[in-house]
Amino acid sequence: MLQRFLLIPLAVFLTLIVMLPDSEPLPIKVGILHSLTGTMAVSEIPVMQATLLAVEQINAQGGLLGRKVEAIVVDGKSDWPTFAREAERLIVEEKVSVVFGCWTSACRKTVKPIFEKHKHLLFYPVQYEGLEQSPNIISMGAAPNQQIIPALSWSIETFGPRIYLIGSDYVFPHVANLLINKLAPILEGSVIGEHYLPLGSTDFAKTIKEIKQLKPDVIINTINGDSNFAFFRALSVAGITVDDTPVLSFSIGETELANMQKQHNTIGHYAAWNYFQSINSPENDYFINTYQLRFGKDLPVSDPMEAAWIGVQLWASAVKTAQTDNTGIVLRASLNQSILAPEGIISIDNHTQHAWKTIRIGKIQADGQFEIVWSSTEPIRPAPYPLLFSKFEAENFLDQLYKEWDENWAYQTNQEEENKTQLGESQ
Amino acid sequence: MNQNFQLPAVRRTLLSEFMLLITIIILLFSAIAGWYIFNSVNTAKEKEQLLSLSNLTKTKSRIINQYIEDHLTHITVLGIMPLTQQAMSELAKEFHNQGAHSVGYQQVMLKYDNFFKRHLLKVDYYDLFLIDLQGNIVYAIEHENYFATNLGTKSYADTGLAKVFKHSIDTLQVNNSTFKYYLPSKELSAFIGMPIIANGKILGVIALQFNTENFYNILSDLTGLGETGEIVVGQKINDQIMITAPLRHDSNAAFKRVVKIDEPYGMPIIDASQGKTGFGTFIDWRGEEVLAAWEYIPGLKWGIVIKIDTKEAFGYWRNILKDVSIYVGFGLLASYLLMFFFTRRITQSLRRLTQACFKFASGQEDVRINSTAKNEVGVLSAVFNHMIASVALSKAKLAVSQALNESNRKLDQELIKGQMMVAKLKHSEAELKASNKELEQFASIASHDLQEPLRKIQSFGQMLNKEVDLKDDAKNYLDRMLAASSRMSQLIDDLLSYSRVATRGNTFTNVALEEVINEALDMLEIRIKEIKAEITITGELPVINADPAQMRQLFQNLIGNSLKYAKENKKLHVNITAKQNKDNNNDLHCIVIEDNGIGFNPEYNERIFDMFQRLHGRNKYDGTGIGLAICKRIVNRHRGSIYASGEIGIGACFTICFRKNIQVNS
Repeated sequence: MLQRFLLIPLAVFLTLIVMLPDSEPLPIKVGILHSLTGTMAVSEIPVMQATLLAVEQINAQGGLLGRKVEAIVVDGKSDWPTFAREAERLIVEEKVSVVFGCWTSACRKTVKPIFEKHKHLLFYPVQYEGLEQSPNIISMGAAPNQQIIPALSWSIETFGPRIYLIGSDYVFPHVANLLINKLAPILEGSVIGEHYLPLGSTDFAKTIKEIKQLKPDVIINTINGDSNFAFFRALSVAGITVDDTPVLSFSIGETELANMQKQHNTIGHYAAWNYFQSINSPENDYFINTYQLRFGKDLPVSDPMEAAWIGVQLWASAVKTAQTDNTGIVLRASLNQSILAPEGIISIDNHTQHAWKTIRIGKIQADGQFEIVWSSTEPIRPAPYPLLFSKFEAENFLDQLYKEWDENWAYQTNQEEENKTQLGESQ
Repeated sequence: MNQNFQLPAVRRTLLSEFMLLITIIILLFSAIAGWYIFNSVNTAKEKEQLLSLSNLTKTKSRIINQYIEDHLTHITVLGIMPLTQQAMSELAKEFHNQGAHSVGYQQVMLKYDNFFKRHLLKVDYYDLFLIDLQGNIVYAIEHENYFATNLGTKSYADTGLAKVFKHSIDTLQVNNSTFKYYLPSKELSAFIGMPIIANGKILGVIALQFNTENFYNILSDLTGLGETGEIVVGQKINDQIMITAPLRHDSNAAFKRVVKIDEPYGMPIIDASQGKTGFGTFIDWRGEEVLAAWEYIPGLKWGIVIKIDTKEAFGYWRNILKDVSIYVGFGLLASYLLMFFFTRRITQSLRRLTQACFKFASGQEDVRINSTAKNEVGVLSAVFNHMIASVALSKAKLAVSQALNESNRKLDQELIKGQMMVAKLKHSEAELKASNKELEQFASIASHDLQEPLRKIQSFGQMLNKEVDLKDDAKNYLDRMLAASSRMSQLIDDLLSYSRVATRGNTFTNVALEEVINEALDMLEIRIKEIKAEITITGELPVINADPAQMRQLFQNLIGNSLKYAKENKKLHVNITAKQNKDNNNDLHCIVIEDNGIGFNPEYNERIFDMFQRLHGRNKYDGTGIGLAICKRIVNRHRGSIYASGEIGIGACFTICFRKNIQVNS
């Protein structure tokens, strides 16, 4: 009798213990989509690493909502169709909650329809030309009013009104220069020359000749990738010094400088970014230290890396707010998120889905770092469509470019051959 | 049995012990369950409260953001209007040419005044300005004392208006300042500005001043924040956080209250105004524990904290605690009642049991308990009844056994007597054996020692008969004396041999009776021939374990006996028959010696074996009357048996039986 009395509660107790779920919750999957091979790998691998670092740090602190975050790293191979394909695979097959990735505007514009089609979410870490606002992309990098325009304004005030524009022949330089062309007169400057080279090109003879002839107050450089090597070498060879004509670059950061160090011909020139490794803040120290500890001592850290690192944290913060990893809900929760980043306070603007960012101008030092010579001191509200551009006007312009490039976001002539030589060089 | 035993009082009742137990169980259970539930509900509730606070914070900051964004949209629309551009260029021109107080300026101003005023009313601003590229405020609706001043001058350089002006020109972008004390309006003000650009040229800046009161109404709306909820907004200025709006608990806080960055209880506002988002529990500036959620409002560079006192947030606990206390109280009461009735049943049974026990202990015997209880008490009652019955039974048994004891005692005494008698008997047996032995010794000694004088008497008698010539009478006397002495010697010899049966026996060996009988017949040959007796042996005579000499003597005596008592006129016939017999599980060898002699009276069947027993006169048949006694003795020594039966004039029959497996010591 007594035994039965004891056995019944014991059995109930044991059953309850056995029945209670004990399994570890499934991880939250996130995609990291960057070029790990090809011409963009040199820039994108560190960005991928910074993204991965942020994911690892979240996991080290116990994950999100009691779940681990599982990063699926995918190689876009510096090839935009590959990016598009892999993006779709991540979304459809891997069923990731979010994708962090892309570098070039051409890449972003190629994957954009995919993210929009699947109503998914991409955190894009690189500054860009603006004139774009996708409900499925959160831009962690600078919009033109957070880099190009203030830098242009500063440049005219600092160096003088006569501006020479040089850029790679793809969408970002074209749009950036369109803005500069339009805004420079208002800011009492003028564009006296403009030249584009295919991505990866090394032939600057014509340009140098023109620069020598025109003697601009400043060169605004939107060349991307390793063509910059050749450009600065050509300037140096032509005897054009920083005192004659300073170059203000929009696409050269610490990572790129680390590869261009030996030539010393970039020292004293300028770059406009939101973040420099030389920023003095506890948040920045933490970022640099943890990155270098994880991936290698003395490795350079750059603006897109910081933006990528912060992007993951903002996403995590949004997941915490949303209390779910559901992409749609997290996307809404991402808006209005703020974070104290190495570069200062970053907030996602509710309206534009771009980040509030502080603009800084840095002067290249011998050690490959930047000395910050000017900054906006506080974050600037993002405006992907600058005041003087209507969305309509912007789309017209972009359409025209797209058509000119045979339905591509970069100049296409001899592209394949160029790419081949590039690949050979970068390897 | 102690008859003075008093029933002791119950010092602590079962009821009270059960009550104590149930109270402890219920309170313990309530405490554990309550503690667990309290903790888990509290954790869940705290999380829920924090999430709801966090959502409230988000909503609030979204409203603020939207407020600013709406203004940005308004000014953008206003700034690109051709009329605004026109006004800007014309007013700036008149301002520069003739000054703000000139008729020309007034005329131009009046031309646009209505347009701007209408706008101002529609979109809820405090004031509207047009500023030329040099920073001169060339138009304002309110015309406070800043009108017509230059924003570049020292007193304005740090104002929100000057900031938005500069930013508009530098970035060609719509922008806003945050709230700050603005001297001309003598109140907190924030501005929004936009460059006016026409035909690729920047003309100036249009700026609007927020309606501070309306804006702050957003912050003073504490809907959903209960009695203690508070919205704290602050801005990081240098190394401290300036509180930028009145607090519920401190209406003078705006731009007066400062939180130092290292101040321990200012945590959320410090974090919020530095761009961090979060929620949690902390101690606020009043020293109260609060639940708070916080985030950053980029448009104002403010941090916003929405908080509510933990006391209030968890105020429902007081009600729950009250309810739970009542429930626990009811539970206890119900348990007490149940316990009371339950224990009463038990205690009543126990009391009955106790009383019954007491009665029984006091000597009353017909005690019985009628218990219907099905529990252990019922069992105990049944066992008690059984015990009473057992005790009664035991008592009865005790009486019987006492009587039995008495008779036992007597029996014991008898037994002792018997034992004593046995001892005596044993003693007498031993004495008998001793005397028997002595007798045998005596017989033996006597026989020897008696022979000696007898032989002398015989020798001297014979010598006398030979040497002396006696008279006939004397000779007759001497002959009779010699005959008597010879008989005496015969008697002594027989006596000696009788005694020697027991004392001088040989050890037993296997003896073939046929051999032994033939030897005996050899010895008796003379007599057999003399009377011409016929001796027949029928059956196979067995081999037995026996003393061979005594066996020979046995058969010699018996056959001799038959030869002696033969009829004078009839031929003697002796038949010796071997038989197998059975007696008491023993196999027997029996030998029957039968004759057709004179026989004897069957009444002497037994006496015939007695010593010196003679059935006939000595003059008719000589003999000492000891031969059959010796036979009996020999047979006895061999654990055998001998019977005699006879009939006068017909014959005698002797039957000797030996056990087959005879093992007898000599």
